[in-house]
Amino acid sequence: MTARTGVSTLRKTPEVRGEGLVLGPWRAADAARVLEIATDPATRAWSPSMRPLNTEADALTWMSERTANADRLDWAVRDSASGLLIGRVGLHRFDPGCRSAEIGYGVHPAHRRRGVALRAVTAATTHAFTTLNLARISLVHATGNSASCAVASAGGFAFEGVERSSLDHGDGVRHDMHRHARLATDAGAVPRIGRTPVAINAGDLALRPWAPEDAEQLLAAVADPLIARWNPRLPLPDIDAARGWLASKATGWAGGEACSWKVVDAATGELRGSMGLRCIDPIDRAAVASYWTVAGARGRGVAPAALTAATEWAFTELGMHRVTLAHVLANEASCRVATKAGFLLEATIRDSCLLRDGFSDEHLHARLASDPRVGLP
Amino acid sequence: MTPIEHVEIAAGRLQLRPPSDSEAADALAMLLDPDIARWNAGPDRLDLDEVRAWCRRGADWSDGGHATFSVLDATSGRLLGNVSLHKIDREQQDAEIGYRVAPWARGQGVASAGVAAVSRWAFGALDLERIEAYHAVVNVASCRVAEKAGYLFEGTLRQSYVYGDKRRHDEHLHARLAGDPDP
Repeated sequence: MTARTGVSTLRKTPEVRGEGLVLGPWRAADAARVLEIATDPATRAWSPSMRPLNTEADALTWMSERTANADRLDWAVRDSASGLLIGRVGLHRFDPGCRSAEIGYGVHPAHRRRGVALRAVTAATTHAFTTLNLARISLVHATGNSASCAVASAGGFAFEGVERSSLDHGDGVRHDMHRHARLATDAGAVPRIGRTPVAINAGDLALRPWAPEDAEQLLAAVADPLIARWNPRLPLPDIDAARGWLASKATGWAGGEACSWKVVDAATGELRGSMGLRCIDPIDRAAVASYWTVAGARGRGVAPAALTAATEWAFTELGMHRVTLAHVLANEASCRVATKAGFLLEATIRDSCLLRDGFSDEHLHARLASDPRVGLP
Repeated sequence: MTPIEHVEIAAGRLQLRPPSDSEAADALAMLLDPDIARWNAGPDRLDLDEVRAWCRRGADWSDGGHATFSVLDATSGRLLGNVSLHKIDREQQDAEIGYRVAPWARGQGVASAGVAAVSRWAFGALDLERIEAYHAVVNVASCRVAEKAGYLFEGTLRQSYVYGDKRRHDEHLHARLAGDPDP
């Protein structure tokens, strides 16, 4: 006779930032979009709680009931750049004694297959573990809902079992449900999100994910003495090392720690340089930028344009707040790149970089999401 | 919610009926047992008055959320344990089941027979489709009861419940469906 009562004192909907999205309170103006989510066939199939919604008035009632319900915490999920409602995520079945809850979510039909659910679940889970001090979050989905199963697995929710004939989805059919759960003590307390590599447009230039066939171009580009001077890991000794370097960039994307691009001429595809974001920290929402420009393309603003584009993308798509970069003091060209791209000089950090001829001081530059926009020439 | 009408179930040498404060002394002795305090604790304060009130709450099925039975020896009338169907959801047609066996009645199949009898009644009278049983993985006696009462093992939930020992335990989830064969 174990008591599993759900009680909670949650009243106010906190704002939570995730990668490229923001979780926040529902607004009356969301009614039309909520109705679009509710009447979508996939929502009808897998989200019985939204099944009764047939009009905007129903949607308004649904939002206000969810907001008023102290046993639940429901968020509207908005695109951080446009503010558009793209989904919903919520915690319910709170058990304060066990510090546990269950998570539910849904994505607007026009915004599926872009990782919205995973990013929203990750943001809500992070909030639940770090701010609400929960120990366990369950994620339950019908066995046929393979999209939800993929979200659970990618979000670090371990599969625990199949509950047979567990839930009537309101369609008169009782579905078997997968139960997954994530613990605050699970490895990597905040799930890192592996990403599908994406390209970024930057006017005449384009940032494109490195491809395996770029090995020879890469090998030739980093043989340049100026690139090697500031980067003790370069040049690469042979084509196998170049392939290994490219493979490590793919691993960075897949593991969620780093995003890397070749910078190319948008029209010809000719290699101009390299751009990277690494040490992506979803808790502090910070990342570190790095770049180089091929010898023949210098003096044309390639690096400032690529850095500006990658940084804007980190703010809007990764939900980053702070992007930093460091360059050795003698590398004045890099200092100009940073300044042009709106990275303020914050400090001189001592002996922070080991070059071939010994330790060197570096300038630390940083750009915040809240800094004024920079207009590049 | 729809109130549930009191019922008595005869199950061989066992009789199941709503609790009565007349068995409070035996109920207190049962709840003082360390295994029960650990795995299925009763009221916080364990004295005769509290346990009488606990019996009365067990007999109040008016909110439709639970149906709690005392399990008695049909011949002597002595309390042997209890079985509680709770978290009853008539809309979703599911519930959870829990059970206790008094220290003087263990090893005789009291819990498994009681759980099987209550389940049969619930699938019929309440039109339930699914009943779940949760127990700490280390509580192997409870696992045997679930298996013997026809509750199939469905999964292991990690660190999912804080039991009477104030520790977080992994749990087994078992469930029995209306259409499952009798054990």
